[in-house]
Amino acid sequence: MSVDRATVDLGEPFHLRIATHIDERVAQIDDLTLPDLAGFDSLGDERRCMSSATGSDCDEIVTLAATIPGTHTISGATFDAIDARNGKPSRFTADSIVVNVVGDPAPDPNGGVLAGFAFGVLRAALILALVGIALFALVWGFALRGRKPRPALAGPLEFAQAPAPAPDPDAWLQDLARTLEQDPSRANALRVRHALRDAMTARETETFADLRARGAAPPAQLAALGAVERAAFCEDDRVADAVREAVPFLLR
Amino acid sequence: MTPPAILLEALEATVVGQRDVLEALLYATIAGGHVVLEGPPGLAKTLACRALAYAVGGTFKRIQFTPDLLPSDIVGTRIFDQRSGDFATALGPIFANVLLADEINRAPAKVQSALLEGMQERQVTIGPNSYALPDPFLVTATMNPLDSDGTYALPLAQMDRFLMKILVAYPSAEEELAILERFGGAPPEPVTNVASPADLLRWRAEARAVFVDARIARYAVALVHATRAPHEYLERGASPRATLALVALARARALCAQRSFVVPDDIRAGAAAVLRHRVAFSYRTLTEGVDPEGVVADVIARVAVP
Repeated sequence: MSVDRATVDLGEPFHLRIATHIDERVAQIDDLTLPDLAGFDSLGDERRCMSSATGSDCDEIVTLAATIPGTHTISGATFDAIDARNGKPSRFTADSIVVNVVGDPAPDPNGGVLAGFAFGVLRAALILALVGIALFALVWGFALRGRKPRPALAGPLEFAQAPAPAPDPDAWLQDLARTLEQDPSRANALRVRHALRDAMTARETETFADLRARGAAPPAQLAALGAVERAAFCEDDRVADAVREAVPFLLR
Repeated sequence: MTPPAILLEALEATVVGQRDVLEALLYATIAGGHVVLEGPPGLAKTLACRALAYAVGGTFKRIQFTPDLLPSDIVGTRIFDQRSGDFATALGPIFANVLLADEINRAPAKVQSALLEGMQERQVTIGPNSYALPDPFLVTATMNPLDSDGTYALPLAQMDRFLMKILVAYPSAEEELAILERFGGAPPEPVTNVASPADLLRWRAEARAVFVDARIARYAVALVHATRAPHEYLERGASPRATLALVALARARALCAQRSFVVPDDIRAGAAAVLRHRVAFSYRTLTEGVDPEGVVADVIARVAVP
């Protein structure tokens, strides 16, 4: 767990990053529990996973603004998963982190009501601007991509250690495609199928035809699911070819 | 090589609309199972069966089931030949590649049994001798659910021998207009012999070779087992024959989709038609006016897809 700035001004947006490495290739993580964020306003969050030969690196980035000055200790986020070392369900906890918030908690009596009012207006304007950017990003994403992007509520992220790349709404599909390219196995085809179905919020009793009938996703994603499904259930000696045939559907 | 789709085209050239019914007929034909079609009069049940028979070629016979029908009217009988001084066997209409049993529930149980024995065993016994039925042998039976007076409901054990039961619904307004255009004047010529019995046998062999993943097989089993789980409107579930039917039908569907493997939708698509006539509904469905189709759909919808 890390923050892009250890010292922030009251009301100033900053980013809390929770980085997770999983030995398996996954499209997203579901069992991550955020820490208690009392003393901070949450302005939005962003989740992304990058898969590689060694597994998946998933980031949860939360945009926060402090509401109370002083030194805050944010407890570690928790993540429930199977421990690869012993195969047992385990809870992993990140280290806690300290954030110093500087600034006055309320309008300064010496500065008068006007200073407090100006600060409040500034903060409201900042939040409105962030919400505006997020709405713009949302509409832009719908118009250009045909799928819902995760709203980016703050500007480009700047991390001292590991800068996060600009969010690409189709990155997760590209990750899935890479996963299949690297290992065109039935197990991966099933994993990718599962990830696609999750993204379409498919119920476990819904078939591909059900999802198509209710328009659970844009046609390109449904076509990708159909292609991956073929790879998941075809004959053993055809799996690799079927997986390779499915990859272009994920990249469309 | 003639593809199975050509049979569907032939059926659609004769029957207006009813795409689901025609597809189901095609799949059952390829799966090697017998079919019962249920629907009100005038919905082209008989026409669809007849169109299938004409399209497949081979021999076609039709039996109108009536209360006074005798088993020998179906399987045949032995007749004394005065010239030879011996008994000769006259084979009945069951000896055909495609047999249309019209209004099968209008004949008494012993007549139904005579037909159903042939459906299961693929042979009939006349006098001391057994005679193999032609291959392929396909029975398409029709039932009218409305006029129940003077009918003999088929027991579950006999219904179980039908691979699937297809419900035939009323056509849409557009389809009815098309029916008027097609059949309003001189009846159209049936499309004949687009495929041969040999084609049918080849398709069946190809369908049997379609790959079924273990997860898909477990899904089929789970669907059938779901009918046996306690349910307020179900008294008895389907037999293992239903599982076999589900997979056979799914293989046929996959073959028609030009796939060499089955996907979950192949199983799901045929589930209702395979299960609806194999389960016994509780008395509450009658007293509470519950739609049996809704019960079957509910059971199917509860089973997780692999």
